[in-house]
Amino acid sequence: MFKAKIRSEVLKEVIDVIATQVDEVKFTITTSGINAKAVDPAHVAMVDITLDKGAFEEFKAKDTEMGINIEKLREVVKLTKSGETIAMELDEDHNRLVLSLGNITRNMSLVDTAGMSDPKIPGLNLAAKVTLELDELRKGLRAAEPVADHIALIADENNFELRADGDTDFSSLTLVKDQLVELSCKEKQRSLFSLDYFLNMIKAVSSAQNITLEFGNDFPVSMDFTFADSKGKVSFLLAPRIEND
Amino acid sequence: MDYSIIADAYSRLENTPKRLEMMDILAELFISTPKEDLAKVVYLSQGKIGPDFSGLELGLADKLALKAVAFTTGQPEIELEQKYLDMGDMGELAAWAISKKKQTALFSSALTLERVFNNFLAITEKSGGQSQKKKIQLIADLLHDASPIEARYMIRTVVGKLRLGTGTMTILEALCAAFVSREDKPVVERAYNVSSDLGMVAYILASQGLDGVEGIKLSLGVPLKPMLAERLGSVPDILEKLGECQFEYKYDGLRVQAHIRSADGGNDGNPNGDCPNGNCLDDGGSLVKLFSRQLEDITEQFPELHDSLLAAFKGKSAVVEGECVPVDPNTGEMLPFQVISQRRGRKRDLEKAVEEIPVKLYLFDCLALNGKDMTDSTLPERRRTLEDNFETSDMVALGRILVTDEPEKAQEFFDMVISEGGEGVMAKSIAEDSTYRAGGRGWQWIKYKRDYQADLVDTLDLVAVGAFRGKGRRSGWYGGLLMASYDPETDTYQTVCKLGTGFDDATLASMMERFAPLVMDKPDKRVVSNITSDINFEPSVVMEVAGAEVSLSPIHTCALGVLKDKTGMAVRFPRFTGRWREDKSAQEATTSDEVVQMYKLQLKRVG
Repeated sequence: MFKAKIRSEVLKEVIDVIATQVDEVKFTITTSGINAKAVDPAHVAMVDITLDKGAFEEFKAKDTEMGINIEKLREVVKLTKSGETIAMELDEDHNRLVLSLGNITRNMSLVDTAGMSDPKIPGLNLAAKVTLELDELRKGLRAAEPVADHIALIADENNFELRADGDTDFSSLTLVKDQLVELSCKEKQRSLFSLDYFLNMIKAVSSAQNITLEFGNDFPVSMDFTFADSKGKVSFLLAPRIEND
Repeated sequence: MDYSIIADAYSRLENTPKRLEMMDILAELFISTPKEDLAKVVYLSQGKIGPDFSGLELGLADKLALKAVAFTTGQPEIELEQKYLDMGDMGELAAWAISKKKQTALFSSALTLERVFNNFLAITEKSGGQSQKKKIQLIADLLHDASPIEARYMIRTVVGKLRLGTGTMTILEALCAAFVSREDKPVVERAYNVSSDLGMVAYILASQGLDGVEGIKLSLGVPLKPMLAERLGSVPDILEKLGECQFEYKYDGLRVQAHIRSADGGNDGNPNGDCPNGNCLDDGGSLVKLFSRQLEDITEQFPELHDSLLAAFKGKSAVVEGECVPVDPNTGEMLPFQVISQRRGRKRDLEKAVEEIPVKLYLFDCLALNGKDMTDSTLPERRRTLEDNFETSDMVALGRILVTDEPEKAQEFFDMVISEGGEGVMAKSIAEDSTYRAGGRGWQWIKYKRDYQADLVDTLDLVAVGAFRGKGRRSGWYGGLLMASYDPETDTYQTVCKLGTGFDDATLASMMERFAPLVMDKPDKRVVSNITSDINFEPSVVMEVAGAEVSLSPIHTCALGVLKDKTGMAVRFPRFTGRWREDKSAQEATTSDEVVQMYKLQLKRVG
């Protein structure tokens, strides 16, 4: 059983975040909220998103799951404006989700979840933790975009750097500890990532103020942020590139 | 079992030109394979994922494979396309791209044989709208965890160009060497010939030994290899060889093996016990399955035969052979064989084709009846079984025959066949030992075909193994082809002539396209040649060739040293008859031994 009301902009962010990885997703629903985990087909990135029941205007549920085609859900959200409310009800007998917005009712058939495995999140011990303003990160990525197709994340005790080394040019976003919300790193850590993947995920974030990056030498980076008054929580994971030529 | 063991063996296979070493490598691979995986490894080593009649074919477009490589490695498609033009081998390209891969993945899991095989199977099952995307994902899923060597052989398999240079017979011999001994080859070969499924035979050989293999029997729904014929050039020669025998009308059609079960036919079960490949029939209900000479399932191409066979058949179940001939629906007259090919590949218009060019099946042999294997019965017994169990109709008839030892009557029969547009006659032994030898060629059956322009008594079906760049009027096209006969003993293709005559402009223009998927950067290891062609082909395309005569040759390798030391055989003044033998595989081409027989025959005629 699942019956809820949600603000349009919250649902939009959920859709944007999941769409960075997959077209179809399985939501796991419990009495306390909903969760989805999705891995991109290349196994390079994944997302773990949780929406606490407090993020909803109304929320009533028992343990269940539902498979959703993300693009179909996006079509529905596009019919609404920010601040409007969308009502959802799972119709398990007919294997569909019934959405109501204003005077419109939309029946959406569910996707079979039988073939969708539950991805295991790799247990990682990442040595560097950096929390910074999302706008700063965006600026650093924009600077890197024309320079190279990959970026390096570098941190030590006092600094965080996002740099791109191209064949002829380079760009660097350097922030000292005071300019960061948080920096915890004992030894220097450095890892390379695909700029395409990085940008794709960051573009999906709309309402968060700050973002926390955790990484280590040639380890994946995790990118965590909250939205919907901290009732929504997202954790992206991206595998590193290796330097060999 | 890890796929790396298989890829490693393939890599070693590729690096040796010696057939014995190839056999050792294969035998070693088969021994190290768990029994339950053996069928899969055998199919993969044949470059396939199932027996031919299963219809499971990969043969993915190069472009899809390239997309999967690009997707997995992050290499831009345009760069890969450029690189592919240089390399000319999608497997090599995949290996290169994987070795250059910079992006790591979050997860990895072992690349097992099971995983590779299952994804290959899943690829064949995808069809419809999203199928291309799903196929790419299935390949990418494997490539994520592949080493460059694994990627090379997986991708080659996926695009249907594994090309290890190991034919079916080499694999079969390696299986014998691995589990019994090379001397036991005839037993294993027989089992393969009645089941057409080398993977299944391998599994039974490994798990039950030679006894198990001896017990492999013909089973309904599973085609057996057709029995083949020798050839002679005159009625007296035939009668000298066979004595009184059965002359059969040789219809100009498509040889078809039909498996029939009537509605009350019950379930014959599968006499081979285990069903490792899921090829066994369901239980009960009527059923008709048709197989081509090459054992492809062609049931859907001739929907009209389904009803007509069930109507004509009076027993419970049967395996029969016949010649499928196109007929004019208005007059009932036989039409030339080529007309059938107009029906091929016309899925959408099939209904129309059935009306315009219906086919009639002329039955000539019965290999099983009501669950009983008839292949050990004599030809007269088998013929009687046909006569007793089929009621003829407009669509199903028994082929005309004449049993005689009188040359005049036989010649009269032959002349009548030719005058009606038939191909000639098949003379068949009616002696005690006139059993059906699946996949075997011998003097029990002798074909005598009409003269082609009074040249050679018979045409040859030769395999194109290479081409020469055209000059002058043919520049930009192939100027000529290097043609070979097949030698089943050594599993090799031996050159027998250069073919440059008999091509019209349309054929010349379309030929490059026909051969494009078969082009190899170096000669196939099964090709034995002293002539270097400009372009090498994987031996696959069979063409009908007429010639003036067969002569001894110091250059060609056909039957080298058989008649004279350091001397092979050649076809003089070869000419393409225009007939592409799409119904024949390269291994069904004219054998080198047959070329020798033709040479001897010719001497006899002159002398």
